[in-house]
Amino acid sequence: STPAFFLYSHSLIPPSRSADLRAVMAAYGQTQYSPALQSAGPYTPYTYHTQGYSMPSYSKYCHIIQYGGPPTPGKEPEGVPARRSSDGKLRGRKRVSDPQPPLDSDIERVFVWDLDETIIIFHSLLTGSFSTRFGKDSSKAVSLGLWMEEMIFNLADSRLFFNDLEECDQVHIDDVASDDNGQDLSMYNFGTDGFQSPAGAGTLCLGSGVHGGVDWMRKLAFRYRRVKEIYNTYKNNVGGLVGSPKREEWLQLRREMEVLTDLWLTQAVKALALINSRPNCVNVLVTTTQLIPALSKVLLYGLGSAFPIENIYSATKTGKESCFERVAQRFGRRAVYVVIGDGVEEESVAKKKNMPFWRVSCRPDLEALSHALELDYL
Amino acid sequence: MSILPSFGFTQEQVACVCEVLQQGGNLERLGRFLWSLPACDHLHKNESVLKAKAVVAFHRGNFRELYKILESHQFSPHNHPKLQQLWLKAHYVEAEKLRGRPLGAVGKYRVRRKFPLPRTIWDGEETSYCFKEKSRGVLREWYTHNPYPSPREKRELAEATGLTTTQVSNWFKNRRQRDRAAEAKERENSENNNSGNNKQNQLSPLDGGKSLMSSSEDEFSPPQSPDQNSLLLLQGNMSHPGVSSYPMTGLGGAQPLHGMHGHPHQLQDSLLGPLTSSLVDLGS
Repeated sequence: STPAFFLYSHSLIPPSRSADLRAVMAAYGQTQYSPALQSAGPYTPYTYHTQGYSMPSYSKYCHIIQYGGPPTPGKEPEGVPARRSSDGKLRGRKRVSDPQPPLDSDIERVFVWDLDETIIIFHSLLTGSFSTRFGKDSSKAVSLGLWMEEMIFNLADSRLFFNDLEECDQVHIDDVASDDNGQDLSMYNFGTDGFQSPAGAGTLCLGSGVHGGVDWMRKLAFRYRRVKEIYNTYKNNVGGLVGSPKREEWLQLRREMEVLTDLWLTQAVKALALINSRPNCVNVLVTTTQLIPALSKVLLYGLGSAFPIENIYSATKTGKESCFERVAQRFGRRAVYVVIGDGVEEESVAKKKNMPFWRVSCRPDLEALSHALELDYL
Repeated sequence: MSILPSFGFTQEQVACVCEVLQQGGNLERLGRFLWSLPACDHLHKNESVLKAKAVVAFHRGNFRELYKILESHQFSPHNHPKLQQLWLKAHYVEAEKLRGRPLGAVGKYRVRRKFPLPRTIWDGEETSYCFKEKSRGVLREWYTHNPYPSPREKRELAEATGLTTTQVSNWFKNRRQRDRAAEAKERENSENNNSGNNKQNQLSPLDGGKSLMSSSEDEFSPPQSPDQNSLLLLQGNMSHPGVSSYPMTGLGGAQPLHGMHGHPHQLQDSLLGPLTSSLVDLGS
């Protein structure tokens, strides 16, 4: 089964996927198609990760991992100032006593992050390049990678409509919002609204956009709206989203990953938090993962509080340069854009657009970034 | 990319910080950052670091330091525009301080002539023309065939270059005049060499003559022809703007020549020598 899951990370559909999906859905009990929230049923784990390797206790790292309860350093949900999203509308809660939130045009520094191998270590665990490079146990790395991969796509399929949306992936969560009619979705049944049916699915999803009837587009918009709601509700409470006993497994996975990667993610989160603590700086994510799985990754790696969902862009459809261009349009010429990544693509686009580039190829690079932020050099 | 463990930043990271702070206009923080860098030669020769130092030096009015940085290191072309601006702005500011009042377009032009851009931040290409290179090329090409286009031909040229007929007429008129002046100077140079007279040493007193001239330098109207020029000289009109501020060094053919200044010798003679010799020169 390993090759099948390997393909997952390249966003291709493994042949056995639909069968797996049903099993997953049943295992989760509560799915996106259930209009009301239910408690999760018992979880039947896949067999591959119950191999006999020993899992020592890493409790000393507990304090770093984001639990379901207290939020990570970064913005508290209550205190989050309502930001203007890319379409200019106010999102999120805003209280009268909150100070006026900074507009996009007030922002002075925009940190444009790459996701994979910059903030999170994921793909390189599966390919073995991480373990080779840093002298880590390669079978351990692969198994952790597979475990996380399973969780990512399970979450995407079960709660984020990935099955529905995979063929109509968007760059940004608000891209189809104009087709929404704003109706109340609290009792809406996504499972029976006909989105998936041949009649409703007689549409084309082309690179240039999504084509289909008005009705179908509206249903599409509902799904993205629901995804946004879920993200905002659970970004500081991923444990609540996955439910028990999955929650405990997830925490263990996170612990083990931090140990294996020498606290890579912890270091990245530190820098992200420093940036978020400044009113005139923002974190933006531009990733080559499709949007829905990217959101799943962000949530499962505990990055929900670091990135407002409106600041997440998927470059799968249009490429990084186009996304950088969108970001630059959004925040304007006055802001300084700092690109942070590990790859050639973001580096060359950054150079082309005259944006300073901070390379992350090892954990000390993230430390240096935090260092520079603390000293007010960035 | 050298790693300096005691310091914590790689060269690449230092360069990134320099870029960020420059783009953000945070020059105080940039100065502080540069000051905190260890005295590593490799680091301080990094182009982004040097660029940052130049910007900070300019910001602090430390122009000597600025010129030194700009002249001491070969910068890559994509940085040239910004560094050229620093060079020029600094020189303008200094000239304005000497002058006591702001510089006009001509004053700035003279500053640029006096302090030409160092090749470290300039590729030697003239960049400050008003007309597009393409248009100038068309005009130049035409000129080689016929320096006296008819009114109809001027209209055609205007259409071909995207200029007005007046602009075309002026271009040809100026071009003929400058060619004539250059030709005359060429002849005079060869005459000098033949006769063994060395008039070169008469250049330096002209600089001293600056203070003799009236200061109406900004009201500069180029004369229409050499003849008109001589008329001005004969009338003893000493308000020849621009004469004094020309550095009389390097009178080689590389310098673009302008109407009445195409023949410095004649003016110099008119100031310091008998008028008759200059008249003889003009007549030829």
